[in-house]
Amino acid sequence: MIMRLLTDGIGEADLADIGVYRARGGYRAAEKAVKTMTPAEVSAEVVAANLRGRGGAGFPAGRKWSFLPNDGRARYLCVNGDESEPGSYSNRMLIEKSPHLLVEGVICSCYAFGCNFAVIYLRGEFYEGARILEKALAEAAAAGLVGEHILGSEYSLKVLVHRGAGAYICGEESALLESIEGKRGHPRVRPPFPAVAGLYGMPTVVNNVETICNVPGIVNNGGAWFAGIGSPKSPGTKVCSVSGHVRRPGNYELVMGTPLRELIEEHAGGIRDGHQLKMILPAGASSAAMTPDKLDTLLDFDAMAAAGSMLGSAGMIVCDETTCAVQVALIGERFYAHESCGKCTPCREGTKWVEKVLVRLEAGEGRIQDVDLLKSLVGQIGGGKCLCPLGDFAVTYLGSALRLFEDEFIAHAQGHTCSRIPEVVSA
Amino acid sequence: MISCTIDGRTVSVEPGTLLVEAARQAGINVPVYCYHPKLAPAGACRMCLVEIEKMPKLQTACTTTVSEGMVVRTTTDQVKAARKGVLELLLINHPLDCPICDKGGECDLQDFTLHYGPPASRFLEEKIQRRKHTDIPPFLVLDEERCILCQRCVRFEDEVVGERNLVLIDRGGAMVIGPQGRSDYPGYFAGNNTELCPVGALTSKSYRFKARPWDLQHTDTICTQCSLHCNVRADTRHGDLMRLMSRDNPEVDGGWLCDRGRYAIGDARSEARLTQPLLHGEPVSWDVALAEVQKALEAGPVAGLGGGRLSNEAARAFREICGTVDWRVGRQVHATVPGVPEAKPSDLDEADVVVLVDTCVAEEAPVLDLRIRHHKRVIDVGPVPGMRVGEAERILCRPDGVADALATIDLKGASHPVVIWNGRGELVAAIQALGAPVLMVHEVANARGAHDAGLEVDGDILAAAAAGKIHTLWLAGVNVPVPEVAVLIVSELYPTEVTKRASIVLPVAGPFERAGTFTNLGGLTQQAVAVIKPLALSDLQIFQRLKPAAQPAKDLPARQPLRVGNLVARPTLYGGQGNTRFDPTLEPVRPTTPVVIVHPSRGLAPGTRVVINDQLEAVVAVHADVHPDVVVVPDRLAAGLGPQAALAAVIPA
Amino acid sequence: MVLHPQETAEIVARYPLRRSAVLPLLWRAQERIGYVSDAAIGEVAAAAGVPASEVSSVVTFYTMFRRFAPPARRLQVCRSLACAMAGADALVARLRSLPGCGSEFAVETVECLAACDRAVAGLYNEGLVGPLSMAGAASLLRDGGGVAAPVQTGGERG
Repeated sequence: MIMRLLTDGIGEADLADIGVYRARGGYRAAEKAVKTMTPAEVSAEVVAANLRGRGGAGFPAGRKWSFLPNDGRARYLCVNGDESEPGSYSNRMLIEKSPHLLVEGVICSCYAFGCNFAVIYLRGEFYEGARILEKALAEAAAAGLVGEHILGSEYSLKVLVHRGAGAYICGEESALLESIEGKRGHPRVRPPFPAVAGLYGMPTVVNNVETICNVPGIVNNGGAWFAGIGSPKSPGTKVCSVSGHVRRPGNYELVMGTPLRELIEEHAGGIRDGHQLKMILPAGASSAAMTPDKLDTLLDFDAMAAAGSMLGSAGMIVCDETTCAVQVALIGERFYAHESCGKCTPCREGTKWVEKVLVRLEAGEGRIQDVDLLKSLVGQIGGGKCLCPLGDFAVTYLGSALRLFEDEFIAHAQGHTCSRIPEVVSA
Repeated sequence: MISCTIDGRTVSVEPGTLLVEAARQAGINVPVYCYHPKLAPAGACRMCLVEIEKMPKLQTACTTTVSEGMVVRTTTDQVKAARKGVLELLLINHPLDCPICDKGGECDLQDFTLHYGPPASRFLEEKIQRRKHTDIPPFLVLDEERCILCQRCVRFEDEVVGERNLVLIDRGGAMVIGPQGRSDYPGYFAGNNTELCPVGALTSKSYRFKARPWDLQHTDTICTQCSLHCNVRADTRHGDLMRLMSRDNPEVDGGWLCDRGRYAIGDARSEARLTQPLLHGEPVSWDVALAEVQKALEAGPVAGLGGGRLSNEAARAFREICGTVDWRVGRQVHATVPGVPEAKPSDLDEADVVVLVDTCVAEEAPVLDLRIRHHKRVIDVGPVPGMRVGEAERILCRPDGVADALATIDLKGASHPVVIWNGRGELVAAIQALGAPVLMVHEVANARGAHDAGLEVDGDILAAAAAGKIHTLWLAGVNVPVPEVAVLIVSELYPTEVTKRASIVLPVAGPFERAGTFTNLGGLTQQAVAVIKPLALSDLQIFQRLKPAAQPAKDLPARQPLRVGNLVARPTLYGGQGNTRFDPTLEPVRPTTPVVIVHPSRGLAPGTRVVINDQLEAVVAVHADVHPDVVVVPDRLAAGLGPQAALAAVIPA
Repeated sequence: MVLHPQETAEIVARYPLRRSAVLPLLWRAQERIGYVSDAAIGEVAAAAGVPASEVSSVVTFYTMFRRFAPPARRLQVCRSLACAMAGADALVARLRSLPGCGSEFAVETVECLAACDRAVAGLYNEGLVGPLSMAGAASLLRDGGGVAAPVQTGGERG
């Protein structure tokens, strides 16, 4: 079921204008929090809401905030807007279409856990998003909503937009922190986790754009209200990005627990004419493929995991029967080989090797041993053997495809080639 | 202490111990590439994956700290498969040419592949080709294909050196290490990278293809290039010194060597060495030479200069033979500061404030500088910056204003302050007033030993010689202008300006050719060992064959305090102090033209050729952080202007 | 000077630690002269208080920093999954065979631009474009045609 908590007004009003945003009730939550609530009260509502991280891991935001040690050190918020997972594009929409919602979420969140410095990290390719967000921040500052003594209170908050420059890995939270510190985006050894030693070694919260955008609603309506929406264990809504072979690709904000079938068949308009669904990669290129028999899975963190895949950031790539499972693996691996930071061995060496094997296989130049070799490499790279999750991401789809579509890999190993992807014809 | 069980063996360790170290204590070797005990854990190579009870996935032993009751297994099928998997991945793009690789025989990739690796590779693709044996002047060679990207070198450059002379370039499968934005290694610690490198990627130009590890004999000794006395392992092959390796002594070197110490070992091979005694320039036998020396020792007043390069034993013998001896022939006049505690190098690790008193540690005792450059608070007093790397609170002053500047420092709030001084000038009272432990940095290697051996006299030996009060003057390993005397004896390694004038020249054994104890700047006495065959008698052997002088020189004229003007003499690492100026290994780094540093206000462009005091040609470097009045001249050049030279006039050539 | 000292100081002052200014200053340099020059690296290093070699290393990590000035018209075509499934590779191959490619304009590939609903998506200079057709892309590269219009929003309304 569609429920527009975050996307309300998008496409109807120019929410990037602070006047429009305020006229629709914007910044009420910030005022309520800063003027009428204690930080602990705001935090308590977010804990009660059981707001789970929308970046993919689904870790409850309120609990994450509670891990910050009370040792008097400065605390930082870093908002992860590095959206780079192939298939995901909901953060970009929120940043470009409703930047003040994000700013308001930052204000409420920072107030809740006592933070005076927040960095919104945007991937470098979001030129437009950065301009829009900078303008929104300037408007908010002019309105006394960020900066010194917010809304006349004792509370001050500085918010910066920090742009990445082309690196998928910077979406990994510790690599993101390195990038803000002006370094190469190499993931850090953990522990210590950012809550204990994050940006500049200080206690730091890293939350996804969509997670933060949920906070104003929780402040306005209460944690209990939020907890009552959707799946009991994954309350709220999720903005799902749908792409691939569907009639109406786009972002759809659904109540958690909506069946996958409803998203694909109703909202996204079903598979393009004359074709049938082959598989869905529900959390982008890094997720295990789901076959049509899983269409009745409910869209929430737990149900998707139980179905053998994940909700992740809900970047759904839908493939019809014309899609070659080997080709998808190759395109995916090409991505991960390109985006591996190079720090750890299995990811750096393994993704390149897998890509090379898949290039041969896809071209019909494989050997039958390649199928077993790929299975073995999935184990050498995946299963937590790498420093950060990118290694697992790089072989999750491949591992699932080797199970679900092994016959296609074998056929390719025996010299079969699929027809090339047709050239673009759209206008 | 907390205990854990590794492969059935229980081991007790300090809280915070990494699993890899706990395993070592239990006698279990967990293979590692990226891990190094002196560097922060990186978790990069993934070679040390082990099984820990109650953890669903394998964990890296190099990043996991031991917790009470932890049960660890390092030999299960799962662990073996993981190691095999990582090794296979490391080898896919690695050349399999161990027989022609310089690291063969001491390569961790070779060794671990033998122990844990797959029998054959399943990799059928083309290996990535990268740059081979790239020269990284002055000392290193890089083979990118052999690099397994463990990142020890780049972490060393970041965490220890703080200069980033080697960095990661590009990313993912294209990533390589190397100098970036330049082709050379401009720092002083390049050689450590060859020891950190677990494979044959970074090697020393001077050692490449000289020996195989299994042909080397190892002897533990110390480096006596500067007053720190880093611990080394000398590797010899058929009696030739091939290389020096570090030997971690936390009280001295922390496991690192500087490049001068590591690479300036050309003495043993140098063609220029003196090997035969000379009498008035003519080669004579040792018996003849020593008889002449004995005659000179009995012919009139005798004095000796030098001794700061001798072992403690030789220094004491020198004093016994000559009676009147002073090691202070350069600009250093104090070896200790009485009345305040003496600091040790390791005290710098605990120090919250370090005060540099007109001293540049990087040039005088480089490895000691590694303990300073990351310090939060360094107060740097003097006309010339004392920090080569790292930040400091600068108190800029005129050369004659150092004492006044020190008086402005209040160390009362500091819990562990350390003052560092090179003993030049009359600053003892000002330093005593700081009330903090003092660490002395000496201009010659065993100044402290010579001081302890009593090689100091109240008067001025050179002035006495100039006044005709000395008949026989013995210079032991020093090269300074001296007045005419009846008999000039010089014991030296190389022909120098004074050996040319000497009545008797006695060649001596080189640094790796003689045994003896040496006392370092922290007061620690350590043993140096003879590792190669000497080309001459040692200083000690010479003294042992002589009888003491009949009349040690007496009634010396008073020692004049060093005049302070605008000329600031500075030691420079490769500037040719002592014998390093003859070492062929240092040819690439030896400055060809002396460089003088001046303030921009003099209006001299960098690179301008100038003449100093109508005598010395030099090239100008401009530095905004030197006092506008001063001219900074390398020590050796300043010595040429005379020990009392205090004024420098700089005229464009 | 590539960077303006006052602006540099302002950017450095935004952060609790000045080394954080590395990326924003590199961006500023690239905006100013079209790429990151050696001189710019030196200036950024000095301003951010890190060795130039490290800034240089950082530049090689991030794909969006260029070491050479690009042609005035530059199309980066997404080749990640949704766009690849829509024919991105073939599009890139054809665009690269157009006369003037490499000299008058550049055709590059990038990974996912977060515009999968508009496959094949691309970045034309700094603007998001898509869905790209051969004809539309060629026209962009010829004279920048079609980019005056603001970025299209896909099926975001739901």
